[in-house]
Amino acid sequence: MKYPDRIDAARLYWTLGCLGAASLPHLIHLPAWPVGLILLTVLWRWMVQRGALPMPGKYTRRLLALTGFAGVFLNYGTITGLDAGTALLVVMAALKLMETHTVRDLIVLLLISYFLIVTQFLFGQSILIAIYSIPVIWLITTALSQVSSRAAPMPWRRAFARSGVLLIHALPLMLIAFLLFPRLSGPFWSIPRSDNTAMSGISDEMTPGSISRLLQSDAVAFRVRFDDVVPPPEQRYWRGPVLSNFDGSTWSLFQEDDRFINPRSVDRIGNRVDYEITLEPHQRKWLFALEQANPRQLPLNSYMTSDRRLQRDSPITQLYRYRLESWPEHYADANAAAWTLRRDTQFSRTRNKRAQEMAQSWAAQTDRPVEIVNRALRLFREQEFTYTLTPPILDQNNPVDDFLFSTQRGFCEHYASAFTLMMRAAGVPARVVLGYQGGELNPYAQHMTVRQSDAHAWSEVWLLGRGWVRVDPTGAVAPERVELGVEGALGDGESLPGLFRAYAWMRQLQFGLDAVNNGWNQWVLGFDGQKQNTVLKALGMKSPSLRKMLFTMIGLMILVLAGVAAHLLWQYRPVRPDPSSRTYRRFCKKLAGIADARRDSEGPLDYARRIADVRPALAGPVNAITRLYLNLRYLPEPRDTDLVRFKRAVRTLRV
Amino acid sequence: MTTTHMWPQQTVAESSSAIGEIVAQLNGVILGKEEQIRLCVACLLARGHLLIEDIPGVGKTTLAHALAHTLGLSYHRIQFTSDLLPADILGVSIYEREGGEFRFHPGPVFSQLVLADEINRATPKTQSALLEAMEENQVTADGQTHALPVPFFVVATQNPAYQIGTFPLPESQLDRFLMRIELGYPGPAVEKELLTGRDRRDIVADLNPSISIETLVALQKQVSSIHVSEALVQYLQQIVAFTRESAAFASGLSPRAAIVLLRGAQAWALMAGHRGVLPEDIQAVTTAVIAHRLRPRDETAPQTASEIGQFVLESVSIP
Repeated sequence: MKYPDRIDAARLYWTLGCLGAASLPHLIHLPAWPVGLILLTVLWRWMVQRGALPMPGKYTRRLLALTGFAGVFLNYGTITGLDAGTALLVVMAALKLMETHTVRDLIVLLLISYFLIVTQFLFGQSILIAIYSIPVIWLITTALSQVSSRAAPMPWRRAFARSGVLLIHALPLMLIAFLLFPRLSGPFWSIPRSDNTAMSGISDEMTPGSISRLLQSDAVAFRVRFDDVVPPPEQRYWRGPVLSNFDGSTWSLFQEDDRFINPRSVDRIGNRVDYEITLEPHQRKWLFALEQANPRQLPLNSYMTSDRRLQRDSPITQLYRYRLESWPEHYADANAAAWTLRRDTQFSRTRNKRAQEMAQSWAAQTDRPVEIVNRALRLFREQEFTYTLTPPILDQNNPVDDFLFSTQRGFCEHYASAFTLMMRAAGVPARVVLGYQGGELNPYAQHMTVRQSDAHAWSEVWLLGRGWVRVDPTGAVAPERVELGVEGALGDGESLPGLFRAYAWMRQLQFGLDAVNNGWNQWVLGFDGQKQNTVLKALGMKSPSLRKMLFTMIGLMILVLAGVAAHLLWQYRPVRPDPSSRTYRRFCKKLAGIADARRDSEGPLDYARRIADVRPALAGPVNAITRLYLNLRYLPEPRDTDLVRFKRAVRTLRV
Repeated sequence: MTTTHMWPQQTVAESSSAIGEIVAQLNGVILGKEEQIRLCVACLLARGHLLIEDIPGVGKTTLAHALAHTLGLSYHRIQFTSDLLPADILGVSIYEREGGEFRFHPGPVFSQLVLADEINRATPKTQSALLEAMEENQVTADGQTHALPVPFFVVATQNPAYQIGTFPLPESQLDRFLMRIELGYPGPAVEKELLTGRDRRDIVADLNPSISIETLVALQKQVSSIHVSEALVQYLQQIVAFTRESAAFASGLSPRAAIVLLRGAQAWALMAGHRGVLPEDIQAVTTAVIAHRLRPRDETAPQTASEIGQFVLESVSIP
């Protein structure tokens, strides 16, 4: 196809708009400079069109290209991989703009725009990106039809309407592909990413202040759907990493990966809670679970460690959904061997001495560990301890002493840390558990949303005959923290900075958005191989296989396209010729051997003349037949008998 | 000699032969231009106006003159120049002492056949004065409306637009001409005849009208009674639709163009003695009717009138 050569202002502005719109969202995950570059060149090209600036010369362009390459390389140390590759694409699109002279160049840029918008999905697949992409794709499609059209551009409303219709036509194909395109079980999107991806959520250590950062965040940690029973708030402890090592200020994992081989099943006492968690990617391996998850019912590719952490083989880099069953009234490891408990009684004897001494004095008074636990909780309850998110800075060497005996202000991590240390000093095995506590039922969608601001730290102590029992010292200070969440526990004049919590209507809005997001996660992103299998089976496909799905998909697509083709053919079907013209066609066929075949655009009289020139002997009958035909078709008041005569004449014509 | 036929009961065959006489007489004066002459007569019969586009000296004026004589029409020639004013064409009201009032003195446009020579030498204002008169068949001066004679036929000649000192007619004005034809250089035999034979002007002066005005008007009426079949309307619509859809043209034919194309084809059919319009009748007039109404979109599209006509006709099949 030949495109018009001259770039007019309208065509250029369409392209510039698309390029800008397609590259803007890359600001989220790329450094600002490639996007800045593209916006700069968009501006430059616009000025060129307005005559305010010249196009850059050959050497300027080369210099820019080299700078772009160098910039990407300096930024990433490579020019391949997801981030560097995308940055390079953005940079090259910007540079391409600096040498646009023909409409063909604009079309190349528009196709790059499509590509730019699609690369968004390599970085994230949230519904916001999808919502942004749809109008941009519409815009690019409109621009493409405007730019490549040989006619004058349409008014923009009509152009949008037309490309909108085009996109709607593509919907069935999209649905078929969505439903049937085989979901590869491998991490399809895990294209090599550079390692500087920020991890979010709970980390594998606890130092003073590590959780308070999380409490500021409204981001969703995971969403839960309960099959029937929703556990009460005091049971909503979502267990994550378990910290057994303590050096005096920092708690950390005992061992990253100690696989618990063949754990015993849980005691089936009390209520069972069945639920499904959709975990936002947090780049770590652990999964969250209510206490006490049944180790015999774990999701695929995951395992339990000896301290009853739930882990997956590979880090959670994309939305991950798993089902669990938990028994909140089960206490684990009631018969733990003494040596397995040893790691949970270690502590640094040189630091936080006052706390140790106090705990040891309690231990001297009683030999019942429960008494010791209660003593500690009573300490928190009876002295002037305050729950606050803005605690004073603690002494680096003896943070627990400082907290217990002088500041007495802090939040979960302070209480959990101090309590666990005192238990260990008193000889009671204890450990710190990180996770989330609480969660908010979404009234619109019947799921529970757990946010980063629900992050929590609590303790577990091992009691002979009972096993590991959860003790939440924060609950002793601020019972509202457990019942109402962090905000309920805060005193007057202190609140979470989260914007959404300020007003009731904003809260409603947040619930609504969360419900939409959850639906997107469940139905679009969560449509994995397993779900696909289920749906296909429900639709009647027996034992769906890769091969079957591919063939069905291609077959259905062909069917849709054939349907469209049939519709078009029907719409542009030739009108059924009337009897006289059908006979005339037969007549022409009979004469085909004599002269060049009659062209469709050739008049009957002209054709008859041509035949008569070549074969004068036929002039008589041919003219007679032609006259009959013209009578029937073009002259006023044809007689019925004419048609009969005409047909007979054609039939009896001997060539 | 004036032929006296019984109009309007005249059959198509009789009309056809009467017109044939006119054409034959014209062919005797303008040599070697049979097709252009037939188109010219068809245009007149279809009550349209004619634009002849060609370089000076190929016989445009002679053709117009001969036409006026052969048909017995009152004739006026207006030489268009850059200083020609609208009043020079339409006429002017002058105060008359005797009557004590203004009286309208009709301009040269009040003739049955007006030769507007080199129309593109005049300013657009003057051009449009004539073209408006053509459109409305009347002249309005000082609030008074004066009807133009019947029949009223304008033959305008135009130099090719690339010549110096011309104001090319805009598309909207071109649309007022039913047909545009080109005469072209004569062939060698004809040229020799022109060089050695009698002066053309003398021949024209000696011509006698071959039909009466009444006959001519009746023929014009008969044109619109020529039968148009369903199939033919379909063909015509396909031609029009093609020009609108084709990428070759900036814009397609207007509905008015479709109407006059049909009228031209009816006139042609009457001349050819067809009781109904045949596809060939459409084809015969298509180039002259549509070429000046279509603007090629770019250099790859057909450029000249005959290229445009051929392109359209060969692209549209006869249903």
